[in-house]
Amino acid sequence: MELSSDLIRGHIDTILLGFLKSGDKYGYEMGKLVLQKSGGRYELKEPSLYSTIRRLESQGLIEAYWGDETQGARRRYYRITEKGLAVHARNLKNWEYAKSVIDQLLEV
Amino acid sequence: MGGINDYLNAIKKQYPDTKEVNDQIEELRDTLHLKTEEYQAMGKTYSEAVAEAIASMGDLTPLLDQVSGNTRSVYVSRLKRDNALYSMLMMAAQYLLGWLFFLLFCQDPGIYFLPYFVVFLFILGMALAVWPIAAHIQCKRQPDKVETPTMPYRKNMRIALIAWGCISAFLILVNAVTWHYNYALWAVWPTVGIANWPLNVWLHHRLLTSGKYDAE
Repeated sequence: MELSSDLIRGHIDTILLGFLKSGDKYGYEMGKLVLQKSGGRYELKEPSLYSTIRRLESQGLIEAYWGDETQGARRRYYRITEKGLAVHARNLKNWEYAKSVIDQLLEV
Repeated sequence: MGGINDYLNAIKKQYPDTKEVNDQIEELRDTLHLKTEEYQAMGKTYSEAVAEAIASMGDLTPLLDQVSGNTRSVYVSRLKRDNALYSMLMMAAQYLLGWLFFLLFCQDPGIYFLPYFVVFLFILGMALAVWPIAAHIQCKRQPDKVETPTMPYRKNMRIALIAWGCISAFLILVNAVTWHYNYALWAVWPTVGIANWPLNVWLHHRLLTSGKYDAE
């Protein structure tokens, strides 16, 4: 079986927004979640991960804030915005719709 | 600690000292520390773990280019049109400045004008005036053309400044050696003129990062 990276990449915004729905997270944590939830079959490298985060931030879908760690490097956390929640819900609906159409098209 | 800090400092030096770049560097520092701890937990030594963590990050250039504004999606025709216009205005100012220097430092109080040189500069100026006109026509044709230009600002600026310094030094040397032929400090013109190179790098970066041309 082969996993199409392009297919996942096309939904990475929705995937990251979905992670943030369950609570604020930092960048590396979200990268680890992608690896973990895909069963180790898909890894989002740091340049792509942070590039996506920057884009979501510039679109106002997520907000960043610095944690109050007293030791080590400062940690940057992200939270989803109202606009982000709306975009996530819309993208999920679109995905469900597209999936049903593709399923029908691929039915033998 | 040294390995991570050295690595990130080397990257940071290549980019403008902005809040966005510094925030991204701090975030990468945190990630590198976490990765290093994980590799250490797998039994690697600290230096091995740092090396492994750095290698696992891949090429960070596209990310930092994006964060620093070196690359962004812009309405490129509008950007080129304004770039050409401002650049021409800068050249006109430099041309006048060149004359001012010439008048100030001219050896002969009667002013030795080097007419053939002035004519050459005039023709060159006219030819260059075509640039903003062509850019304007192009913009009219494709006003909404979007591109993602790459411009490593610091690197380009360093090259432009070094080139300007070297060429100017060479021209001033030639001027000094051939001084007794015309007693004119002609090297000021090309020296001021070539300053347009670093000035253009600066202008392009300012326009690109202004946000005025950003495409959604």
